[in-house]
Amino acid sequence: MRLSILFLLAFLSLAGTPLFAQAQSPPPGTTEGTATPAEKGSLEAIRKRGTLRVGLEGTYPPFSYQDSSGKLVGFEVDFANALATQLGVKAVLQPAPWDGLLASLEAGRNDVIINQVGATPAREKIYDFSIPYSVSGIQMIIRKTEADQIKTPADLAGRRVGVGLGTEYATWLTQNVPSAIQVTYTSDASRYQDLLYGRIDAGLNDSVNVALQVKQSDGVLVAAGPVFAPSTASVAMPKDPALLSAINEAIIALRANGELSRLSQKWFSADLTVTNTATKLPAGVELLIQSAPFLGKGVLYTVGLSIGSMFFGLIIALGVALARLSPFAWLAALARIYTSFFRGTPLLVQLFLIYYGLPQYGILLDPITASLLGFSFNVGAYTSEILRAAISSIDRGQWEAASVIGLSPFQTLRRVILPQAARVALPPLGNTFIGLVKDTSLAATVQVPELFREAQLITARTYEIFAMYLSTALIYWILSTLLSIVQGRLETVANRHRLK
Amino acid sequence: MSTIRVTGLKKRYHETEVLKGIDLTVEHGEVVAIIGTSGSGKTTLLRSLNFLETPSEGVVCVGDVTIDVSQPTAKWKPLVQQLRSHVGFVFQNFNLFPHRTALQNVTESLIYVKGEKREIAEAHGRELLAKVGLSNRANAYPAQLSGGQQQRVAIARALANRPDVILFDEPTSALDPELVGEVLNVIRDLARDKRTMVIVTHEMSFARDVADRTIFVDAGVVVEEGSSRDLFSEPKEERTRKFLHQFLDRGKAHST
Repeated sequence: MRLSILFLLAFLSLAGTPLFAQAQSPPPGTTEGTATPAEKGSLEAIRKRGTLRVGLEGTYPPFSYQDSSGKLVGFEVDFANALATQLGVKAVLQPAPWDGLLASLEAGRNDVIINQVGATPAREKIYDFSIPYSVSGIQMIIRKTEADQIKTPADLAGRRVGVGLGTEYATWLTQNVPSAIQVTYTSDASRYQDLLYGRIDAGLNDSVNVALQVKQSDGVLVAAGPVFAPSTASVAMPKDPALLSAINEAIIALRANGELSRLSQKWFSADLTVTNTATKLPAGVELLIQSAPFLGKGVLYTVGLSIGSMFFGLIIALGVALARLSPFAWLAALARIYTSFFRGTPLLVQLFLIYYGLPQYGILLDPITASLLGFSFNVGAYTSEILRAAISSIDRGQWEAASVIGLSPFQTLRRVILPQAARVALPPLGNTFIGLVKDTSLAATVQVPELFREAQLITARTYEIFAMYLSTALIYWILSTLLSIVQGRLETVANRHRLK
Repeated sequence: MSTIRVTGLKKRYHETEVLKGIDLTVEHGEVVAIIGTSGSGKTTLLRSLNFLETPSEGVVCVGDVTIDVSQPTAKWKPLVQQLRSHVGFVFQNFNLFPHRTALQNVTESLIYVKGEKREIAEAHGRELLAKVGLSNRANAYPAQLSGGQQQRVAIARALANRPDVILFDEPTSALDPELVGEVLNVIRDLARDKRTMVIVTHEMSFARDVADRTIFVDAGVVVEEGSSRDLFSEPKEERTRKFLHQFLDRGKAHST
């Protein structure tokens, strides 16, 4: 049952891509077999066919999505049905990915698109757009306890504000409240949590999303201030004056009879909504040059995080290695469990556990501390095994020789065993460190502004995706190569007493 | 006053009894050789004297430190370090610290255990290296030295703490034949200085010539002991005779 829906969806989404749609001959069921694609969406054709073919994404809650039983539901599903009824026909909903949606109008696969499409000058050259059926805008979401401190966007000055990576909200904030401290997220869920935990003071999002999260928070969060920078959504269709006026009339009627606002109340318990599309800025080589200082800052964080984690990791590793070699069974077992856990679980999960999980128990760590902790424990687990093997590889006779000349166990370790173990451990430690430098890119997921994060931010702004990530890759490569060189030097120094 | 006195020394590994009750006395200024077949327990006996092996039973007395292992471990454990400060130990495999120079190997305990000033420790260290004929290799790392030279550095290191007694565990067994002589000569010099020494060795002629007394150990017991001259020329026990014969034959086989 579920499977068949999946297949259907897969087929429909395939059919929705421009390439596939254009290759198709006009669908059967139309009386005008000789019609050109533009006439496919004509009012005449729709009336004769008795159906209004509506293109929408179907994966875009609460606008159009599948509910738990697999049924297509949502504000725009209801709106499409109401619109079709108003036109005296039945709506046929055809879910497809966004990127092929508008093109399917030209191909004659759909009569209209109802998918939070905004009328832009570029789009209006190719398509007709109805009067708006929904309006939404940017709204602030804050903790209820601070409702009397944050009332207008101006109150965000100097505060930490969470925005989606590369969204119009980020752009709006930069342009209008430059003194706000911008914290960017790739996931709504983590921003929502951070707001609850107090890592950020406010979030900016579209008003629909804000309404949903306020509802979800059980009264802890509230929407603040007015909806500003409004944008609208319209029904998109092929150029056809008759169809345009019919649809406009239908929308006016739905407004007049209260149907539209009833649907809005049903889905949002609030005002109507808008999409959050990324704003595209012009990009060029000079933007790449402009991004250098940002990447430079990212490198500093990457290097700092790597060195710090290696330092603390080594301390942890030494303790764990000694615990494993100790005669106390319980201590060795504890060390083994630690190593097993941190080697056996994904680093990303460990970071999330520390950064997003611990706050639930009142341990709220800033991004740097959290990632430093995560990386140190992780790298500590790996290096403890390296150190353990290295220490074990030192001949028993060295321990005995040290003990018979009177060195204490600590002195023996410090002056005899570890210097020799270091030589053995150096190559694998170097490899671990190089691995760590690359792994620190995961800190981007917990808001550390390291190299990869900076690259993501610039990419979201400039759309210079390939150039940006290639530069980033090259920087990581350079860092790794430098480390290999340092590793080689150190090995030479550590081996000097072995040279004949 | 005797330097070492051992009574009723036993050592068990699980079920196997390696030392079956050994009594041993070493007088001040005496050189004692311990001989026996491989697995006879002679090395275990030597290592028990400074607790590289912990005896299962018995009393070990070195200088003014007496340890009775029948007492609770916590009581005698702290004494081990004290006992060791009276004892120098030379290993079969030298066990020099490979990352330290010859001089650093010798001065390590002076600087880091006794807390001597570096200049004083190094002056003493150079004296000791000169004594073993290596004053020109003070700054060499062990890997840059021959086996014989390494063992001589190890002897200098054992001397550094001014021990009451030096224990040698087969000091020439790991050496190429042509390097054995230089190490034995150093030990011979120490004997001439009236150093108290206990030497586990397979070099029978060396034991006969240098040791005042020789102890033959077999299957964990002292089979026979006496002045080296007597023991090698007129062994009383059948087992001793048999053991010495084997060595004699092997020596012949080598020389032909």
